[in-house]
Parts: sequence; C-alpha cells; structure tokens
Amino acid sequence: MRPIKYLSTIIGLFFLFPAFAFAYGTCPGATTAESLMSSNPSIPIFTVSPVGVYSLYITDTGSASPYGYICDLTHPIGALNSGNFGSYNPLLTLDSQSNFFSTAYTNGGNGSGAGDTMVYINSTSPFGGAGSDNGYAFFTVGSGNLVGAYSTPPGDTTTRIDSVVPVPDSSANATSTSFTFSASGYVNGNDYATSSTMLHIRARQLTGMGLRDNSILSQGVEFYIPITASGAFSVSTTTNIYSSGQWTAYYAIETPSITVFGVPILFEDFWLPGGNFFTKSLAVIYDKFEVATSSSFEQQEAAIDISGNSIVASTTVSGANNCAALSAGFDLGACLTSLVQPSDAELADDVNTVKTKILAKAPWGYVYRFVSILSASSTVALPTFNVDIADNTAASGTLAFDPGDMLSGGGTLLSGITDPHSGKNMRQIIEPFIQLFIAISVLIIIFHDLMAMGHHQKHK
Amino acid sequence: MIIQLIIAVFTSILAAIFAWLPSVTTLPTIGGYNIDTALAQGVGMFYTYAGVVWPVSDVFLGFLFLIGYYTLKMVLKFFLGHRAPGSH
Repeated sequence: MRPIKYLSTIIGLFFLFPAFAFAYGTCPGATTAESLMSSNPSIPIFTVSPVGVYSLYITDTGSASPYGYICDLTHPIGALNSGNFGSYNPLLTLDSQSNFFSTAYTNGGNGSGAGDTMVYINSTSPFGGAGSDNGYAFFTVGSGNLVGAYSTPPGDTTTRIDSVVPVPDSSANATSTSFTFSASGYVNGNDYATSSTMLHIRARQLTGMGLRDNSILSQGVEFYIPITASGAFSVSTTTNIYSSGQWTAYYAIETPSITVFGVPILFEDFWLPGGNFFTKSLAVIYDKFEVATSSSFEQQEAAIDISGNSIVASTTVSGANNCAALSAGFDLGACLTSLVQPSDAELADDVNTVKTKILAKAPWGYVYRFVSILSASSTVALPTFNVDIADNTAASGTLAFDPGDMLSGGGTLLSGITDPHSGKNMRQIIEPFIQLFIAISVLIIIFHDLMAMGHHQKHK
Repeated sequence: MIIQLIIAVFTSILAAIFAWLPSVTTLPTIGGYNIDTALAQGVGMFYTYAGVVWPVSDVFLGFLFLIGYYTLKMVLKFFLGHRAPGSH
C-alpha cells in the first residue's frame, strides 16, 4: 500500500503544478475569453486571429502598473506558451509608471493553437478603475498597422443611463430645496453633440396630495442638465418636492435631431404629447418612486398656497369680503365698485394667467421669452480682461482691466458735477429732455404706423 | 367681479385651447451655443452699462415700448387674421 500512496502523492503534485504556476502570475486557467471575463470583468481581453508577428503596446498614464500575458486559448495552463513564448512567466511586464513597452511574438505556428491567440492585460489597478482612466492598449502588425485596440472603460461604450436617483421603487423623504434627482451613465463620442447634449428629467406625482405647481392636479418638475463631455457622466440637481405620494420620472439623454446648414439646433421646450420632435432620445429610463413625507414647512406652504387664491385672496383682497353683510369688512361702496372693477390682485392673477398659459406657449412663446429677457432688470458684471506685457528682459507684467470699475468711476465723477444754482447734477438736468425726445419719437413712429394702417383700409 | 368674471372666463378658454402646446422656458441652443443664457448675460451687462451711462437706458426703454407695440400687432393679427386693422 505504501508505494501506491507515494505514487498518488506524486501524481497529485503533478496536477497541482499548474495551480502553482498560475499563482505566480502567468496565464489563468481559463479556456475561453468569456469565462475569463466572467471571472474578472475588469480585465480587457483581445483575440488576435490572423497569423503574423504582432507587437503589443500598453500605455497607462495613470497610477496603475499594467502588465500583460499572452495565452493560447487552445492550450490552457500546462501546455501554453511552450513554442512561441518561451515560458510561463509574464511576457510583458511594465515597470511602475512606464508608459511604453513593446515586444513581438509570433501568433500561430504552435500546433493546434495557430491563429487563435488570446491576449489579456492586467494591472494593479484595473483599467477603467480609479486613477487609470487613461489606460489603453493596442496591437500593431508588421510595421505598425493597427489591428486591434482597447480603451477604457472596458466593455460597454454605448450611450446609456446606468443609474438614477431616486432609486427605482424606493422611498425618499422630501425636504425643503434638497430633493435630489441625479443620473449617471455614458455618452458615446459618436452620439455626443458639443454643448447640445442634455439629460432631460421629468418627474410627476401620480397619486397623493397634489397641491400646486405645473398642474392643478399634481406637482411636476422638469430639468435639462447639460452633459459637458462625452464619456462617463454624472449629473444631478436639487429641487423642492412638497407633494408626497407615488411619483414617476423620465430620464433621457437628448441631442438635437435637426440641423440647419450642419448646425445642430436644440429646442428643449418643444415637448408635445407625442414627444419632442426636435430632439432625439439616445437612452431613456423610466423610474417610479415614492415620496414618503414632505417637510412640515413645505406642507404648510402648500396648504397656504392651495387656499391662497380661493380663500385668503378673496377674503382680504377682492371685493367678496366687502359684499358679505355679516363680515367685518362689509363696505357697500367698495362692494359696488368691486362689481365692475377687478381688484389689483385679481388683475395680477389674470395677467399672470395670460403670460404663463397663453403668451408663453410655443411657438410664439419664443418671442415672449425674447421680450422677457430684454425686459429683465437684473445686472451682470461686465467681463474683465487682462493684458500681458511682454518684455525682452526677464521682467514682465500683466495689466488687469475691469470695465465695471472704470464705468462706475466715470459715472460717479459725472454725477458729482452739479449746477451751482440749482444744485442738480447733469443727469437731473438733462434726462427729462432726453426722455421727452424719446417719448415723442416713439409716439411719432406708432402714430405713423397707425395712420398707414388707416390708409391701407381706405384703399381697400 | 363682473368684469373679472368676463376676463377670467375669456383667459381660461384661451388657456384651455392652448393647453396642449408646450410652454417655452428657454430659447433654443444653436450649434451648442446657448442663446438664452447668452442673451440674458448680454442684457444683464447692458443694464450694468446703462446704469452708469443713463441715456442708453432711456433709449432702450423706448425700444422696448416699440417692441411691445409690434408684438401687440402680431397677436391681434394672429387672432383676427384678415380682420385685423391694417391687414390686406
């Protein structure tokens, strides 16, 4: 029995040898690329099929220390590399931070492995991982013709949305101004339109306490967030959510679908019931989540708001209170006046309705938006600029100009000059005349236009 | 209340007619250039400038008044068609 026991031990060690070899860093015990990928999806794999002499180049400008192996698919551990590659040792070894390394090997000519060689690259930090996003590898054959390339991220480079927040079928609490919508994914370079690729998020409350905002039935929010570059992206925004209940959300990566003379034009707003015909959605995800509770502040605000127009406004601002005989605010004169003359609040409400629900609608809404921007009163600081003064000596300098400072300084100087008799400055003296001149000019233009219309009518 | 009722009914009917149309919140982005942001920035800078060089603001106010007049004409023409004053 004893010789048989020794024999079995020797046979066992023989079969264990490949496992030792693998542990020391040679080709893995996988016979197919698919099985290798499934065991470690972060490892890029190349299959080089034509018979020929190849060079493998690996570049990694990140912090990784990549190294590579060349394995024969048809000859797993124990039989591979014997003809072409010499040993089990790693064929390619890169020193830390070495950006270039190449070797040549002959694919094929090794019995049944001819024309079926697999190469895979490994690194201390897998390609596509943190700190090694610049890693890539490629093959050349002969004098440098590219036959295959691989770049990070490994695997899927299609335009897609990987994850969204709120997480589908999850529950979240709404707090004031801090309810987060976000999405991350990947935009392929071929799909990317510079400065015109957006992540479109639309979320709407399905059930629950619908109070206000875009619809009288439920709350809804909508965002267009620019995606600033192709490749992996992650964008987010925060907003007020004050309506608890079931919500549905729509996330889409959108680019312009129309071009004029090759220039893409993006109409973000043109959403009709059938979709936005001016944009194409490259990737779409639908999400359903629950807003568990609203913040107490938002609930109170919403409660005030829902009653604002119908109750508070009518009892304190409109004439209804004046006409209620038993009300403390009863005033017959004011009541009669209110019968024909709308209150300021009611008129403001009407004007707001006309603005938001009629004038702001496409397509004439673009004219309205243009006028709205022109009539805004917010100020923006003038851009500053620097001038570098070159010198043929070592010394050089930079002059910084701030037009805002210069203008305000000039304005202060002008307003400081006053008429010694009246004490008024130049603006106070001259501006009424300028305003009068402009007003008369505008009236003449309008009058002339109206007269021209009458003239046309008369001809008709 | 009577006038308000008439106005409210009229605006509500118009709002209901156009409810299916999308609301415009931004001007289009052309060739990657955000017209809306650029225009808003430009107008904001203009206001900064006009705040100091005050005659410019008076001229601009007159310009806005004229644009309002022509916009009103366009709206009337849209709703009244050939019955609008001055239409051929």
